[in-house]
Amino acid sequence: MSAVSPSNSVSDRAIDLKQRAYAAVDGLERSLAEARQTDACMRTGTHGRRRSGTGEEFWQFRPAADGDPARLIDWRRSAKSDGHFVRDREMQTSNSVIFWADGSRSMQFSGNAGRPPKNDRSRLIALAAAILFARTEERVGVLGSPGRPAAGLRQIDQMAHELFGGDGAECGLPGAAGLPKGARLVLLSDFLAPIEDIRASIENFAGSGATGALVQILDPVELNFPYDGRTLFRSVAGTVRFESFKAGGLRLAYQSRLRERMEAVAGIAEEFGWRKSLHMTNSNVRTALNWLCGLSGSDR
Amino acid sequence: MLFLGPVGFATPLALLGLIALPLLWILLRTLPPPARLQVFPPVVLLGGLKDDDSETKSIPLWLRLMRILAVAAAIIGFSNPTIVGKGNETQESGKPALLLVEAGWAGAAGWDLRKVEILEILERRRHGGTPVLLLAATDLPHEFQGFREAGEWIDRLPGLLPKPWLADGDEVRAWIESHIGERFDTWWFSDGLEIPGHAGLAELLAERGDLTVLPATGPVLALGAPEIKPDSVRVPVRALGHDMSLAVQVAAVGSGPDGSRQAIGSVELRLEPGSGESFAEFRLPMQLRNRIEGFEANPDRSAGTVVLAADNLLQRRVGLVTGRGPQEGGTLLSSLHFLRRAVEPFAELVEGGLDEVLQSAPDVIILADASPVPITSHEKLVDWIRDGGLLVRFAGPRIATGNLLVNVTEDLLPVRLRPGSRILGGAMSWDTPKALKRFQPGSPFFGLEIQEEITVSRQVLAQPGPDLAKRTLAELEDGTPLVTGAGLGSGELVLFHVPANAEWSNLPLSGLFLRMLERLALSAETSRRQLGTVDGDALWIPEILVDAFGTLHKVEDAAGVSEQLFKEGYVSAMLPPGIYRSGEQIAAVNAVGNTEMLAEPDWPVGAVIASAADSAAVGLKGGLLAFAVIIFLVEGWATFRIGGRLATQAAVVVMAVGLLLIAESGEAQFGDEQAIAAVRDTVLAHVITGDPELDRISRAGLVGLSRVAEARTTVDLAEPVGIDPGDDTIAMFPLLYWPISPVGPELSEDAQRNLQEYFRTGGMILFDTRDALVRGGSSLDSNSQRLIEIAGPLGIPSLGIPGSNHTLARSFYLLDEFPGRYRGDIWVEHLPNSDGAAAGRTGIDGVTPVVIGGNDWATAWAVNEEGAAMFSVGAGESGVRQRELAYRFGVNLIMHALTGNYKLDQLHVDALARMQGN
Repeated sequence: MSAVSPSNSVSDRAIDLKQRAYAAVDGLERSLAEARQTDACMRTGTHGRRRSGTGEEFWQFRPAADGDPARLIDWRRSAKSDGHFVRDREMQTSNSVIFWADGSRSMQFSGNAGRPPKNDRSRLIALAAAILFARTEERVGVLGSPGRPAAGLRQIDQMAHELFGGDGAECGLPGAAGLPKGARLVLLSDFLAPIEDIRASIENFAGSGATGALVQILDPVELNFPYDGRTLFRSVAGTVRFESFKAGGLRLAYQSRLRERMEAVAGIAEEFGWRKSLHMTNSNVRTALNWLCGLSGSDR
Repeated sequence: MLFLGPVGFATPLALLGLIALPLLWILLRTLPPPARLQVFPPVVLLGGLKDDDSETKSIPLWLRLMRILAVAAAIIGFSNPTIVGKGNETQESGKPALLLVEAGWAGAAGWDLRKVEILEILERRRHGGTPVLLLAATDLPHEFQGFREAGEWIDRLPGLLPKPWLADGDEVRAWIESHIGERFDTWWFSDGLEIPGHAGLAELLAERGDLTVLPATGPVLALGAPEIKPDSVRVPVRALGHDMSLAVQVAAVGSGPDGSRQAIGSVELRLEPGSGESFAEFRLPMQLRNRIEGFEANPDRSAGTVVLAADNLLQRRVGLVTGRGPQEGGTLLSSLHFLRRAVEPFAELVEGGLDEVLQSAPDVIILADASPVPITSHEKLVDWIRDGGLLVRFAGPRIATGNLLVNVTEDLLPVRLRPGSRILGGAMSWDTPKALKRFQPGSPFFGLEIQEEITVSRQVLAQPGPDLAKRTLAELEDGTPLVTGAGLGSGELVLFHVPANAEWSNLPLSGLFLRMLERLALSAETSRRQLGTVDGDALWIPEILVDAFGTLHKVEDAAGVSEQLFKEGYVSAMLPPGIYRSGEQIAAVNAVGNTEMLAEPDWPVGAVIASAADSAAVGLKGGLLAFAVIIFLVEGWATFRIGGRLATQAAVVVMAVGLLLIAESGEAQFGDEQAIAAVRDTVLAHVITGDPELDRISRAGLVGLSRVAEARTTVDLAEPVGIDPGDDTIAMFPLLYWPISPVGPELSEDAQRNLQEYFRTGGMILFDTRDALVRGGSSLDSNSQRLIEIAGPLGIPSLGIPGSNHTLARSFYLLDEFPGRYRGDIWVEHLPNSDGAAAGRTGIDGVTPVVIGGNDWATAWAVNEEGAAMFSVGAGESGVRQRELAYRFGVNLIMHALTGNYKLDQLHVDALARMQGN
């Protein structure tokens, strides 16, 4: 927790997170706008639902039925014929983008005092992306939040608080929560939980029709394993320990295991048509944001 | 000191740390190297991985041993062990062993080591099982209890102490002959001095068995009886058995004002091997000299290096009876003049009428021929002599004419005189002036050298009589008496048959005269004592005794020593050294009487001499600590290889450095901050007078001068400081400003010594009496008077007014005068060379040690914090000019102090040439 001192209240930390998120997206909007113009894969905003409903665009004329208020009758069309016609509009809804930032203990880790812990980075990415999506009229929300996904500044404020939820478990799994139809999930985690659980969880989401993206956030030391000599490794919550007398000798074995894990996570994502990315806490937030914001609508 | 076998421990408590070693061993065995705790979220991924090998789980045995070894070495090192080497192994012959320990004062200095040697031999004997007799030669037991188990002697060893006298070889020989019949091997622990009867004893021991000699553990240092010279006291110092030059400090000690013993003066000597006798010479003012109660030498303190003086060193007080009113004739004709000059160097002189002189209770009264003795005082004079006084009279025309009854009755002459005097070598005489005959052994003058040119041309003669020869203390070639003496009561009468001036004889012109008077004066006390105890029954009761280690102990109710034994002066158990009293008389007995008598012992052929190198003690602390440090470093490196952690290594390095620091501590010293500053920078200093206002001005003045000098010259000056002349850091200041104030304490003795040393090594003092304005004529005001008081004892050279070509007038600026707030003359060391420049004392570059004036320079120099002048000088423009000149003088002074006469011939050659019109 280098960026935020733990003694601060959640709301202080939320405000700090918000400020940093806004700072992270500052200037990014323009590049996003440019990307949209060049028809990059950034079609965000409202989407026609190809059926009548509330919306701005004309959808069809239909004969007025009993109960239609008289003011809905389109008199110009009706004049061309005998019947009365009512103008229907195409139903327009926004996509919901639901974020889950892993709040488990393992995300509290930082391999270097100069680097933010993984959960700080995950929250920052989530909120910054949420700000970007909200500005393009997407509805955003936090997985498991009692409120409905929504767009607007108030929702961002709300999310900044909600992102600080954490369960104290060793490794996090996204909870099975009701998702709006056609929602997109952004799952930010180190994905160190048992791989079967991860798969089951994503399968569950996919089954309810959600698509999404997995962002695996790791600290560089988790990749490099720069340890030597006799070392007692301990998980953050202290539930798992492992002692090595020559930690340096384990480096290659560990790295191959980690690679297996990353490939497994990528495999799950592929299986359900999700996307997966790796983000190191020592790299720039924007790389993750750029990658994420190309996401919305790319499922078509 | 604790001894374990041959190793002694100065700080045995540190050895308690060894108890912790087994604990450490167990801990090291059970504990693997501590693991570093590493929080690592993907630890689950590590599950099931295996280390290459788990050999390193516990600390390897060799590493454990190494750590234990290092800790043990450090602990033992801190207990300051000293190893005492074994003497040459002698074959165990199975015969009983005699360990003969001289145990005199000479062994006291190395007693601890000696005991180690004894213990070592006893230990070996214990293993060998042969019986032993441990015999202290200075403390022979009354009964012979037979040779005994070595273990018994080991138990008794702590009680073995040296005695403050030397063993008597004859006694030991007699004791052995009368008590021991069998054959035995001997280990002779010599103190390094030849004891009386040494040869005989050595012969006996060699006869009875093998003789192994263990030489002294160190050099023997001894102080002899002090000799009193007219202007100093000399203490003979003798060192034996040292093969390197030995630095010895001899201190004269006496009672301080609070009654405690303290050093009055001290002398450093360097004794070269084989140099025989050296002398520590104390030149002390009379008052101090009279306070001396003894002398002590360091190091190697023992009874032999402590000399007690009782009151032998007290100056004699000599009364000189003078007439009232000025004498007729020139000074050199006055006998009083010669007497005065002869007596002054060695005694305290009291002059006046007989009554006054008697009241001052002198040891000696001198009556010249012309000295009037009123009838009324006659009775008192006789009483005084009967009480032990010494009356020295000189003949002269009055005595010669027999005109005695006018002043003094005849009973105050040692011999009856013939009327008239004898003239030798005169116009009417065939005889030539007579020279002196050698002094006879009974005479108090015995041993004095007689110069041949001393002649007597006229004398008064004694009536021949049976007593005359006995009463003659000195005589002429023809046997006629020159000095006669006789006892009266406890006192003595002495008559010189010539007057104390040069009219009848040139004796009073000679150095011999002085010595004769000195001898007489010194004999005054002794003669009193001897006369007082003529009955021989007197008991001398010890009041203070000296033990072998040179420590003084007050004793009470000690058994007295008979007069006879006391007079013999043979120091032994019967007469231990110390201070003795008999009635009113106090006398000291010292362990060493005559240092020339001391000699190193010769050993008979066949005696095995354990070499000194073998028994030299070797301190092990440094080696052990270094060993521990090395092991710690190696261990740290090894641990790093195994554990791969830098933190451990850092800790080990810290530990090693800590050990080194501890080992080195004791040598680290911190100097005086002021001294450091003074050495680092050039600093002007003023003497703190104790008058706060004056000190403030002095300081402000030096600040102002420092600023000017820094601005105008390349001299870099630090903040000026105030100093106390008693502080020995004054040697670091090139220039001292000393404002004289009528108040203030006297210069302490330390300060005088400091200042003399300061002058000698090239320091410069500017004395400022600050009174040039008011000084006039020849009368001295209080400040000048005070300057005389201060500077009097400092040995200031003769002074002169510096000319315009003195270095001081040219070292930076060309000056004609040296004004301060006032314009007055200054005085500097007078140089014989008229141009005042090139000459000067060698070694200090012609720098005058003192500049004396009354121009109140500090006031002219003084600036406040803002740098503005604090005091007005003169009036208007001329005042500004005068202040400038004052600064210029100051700059010149600094330059002179710093560069000597270098500036003189170099800097102003051009300007000087121009000024002279070339």
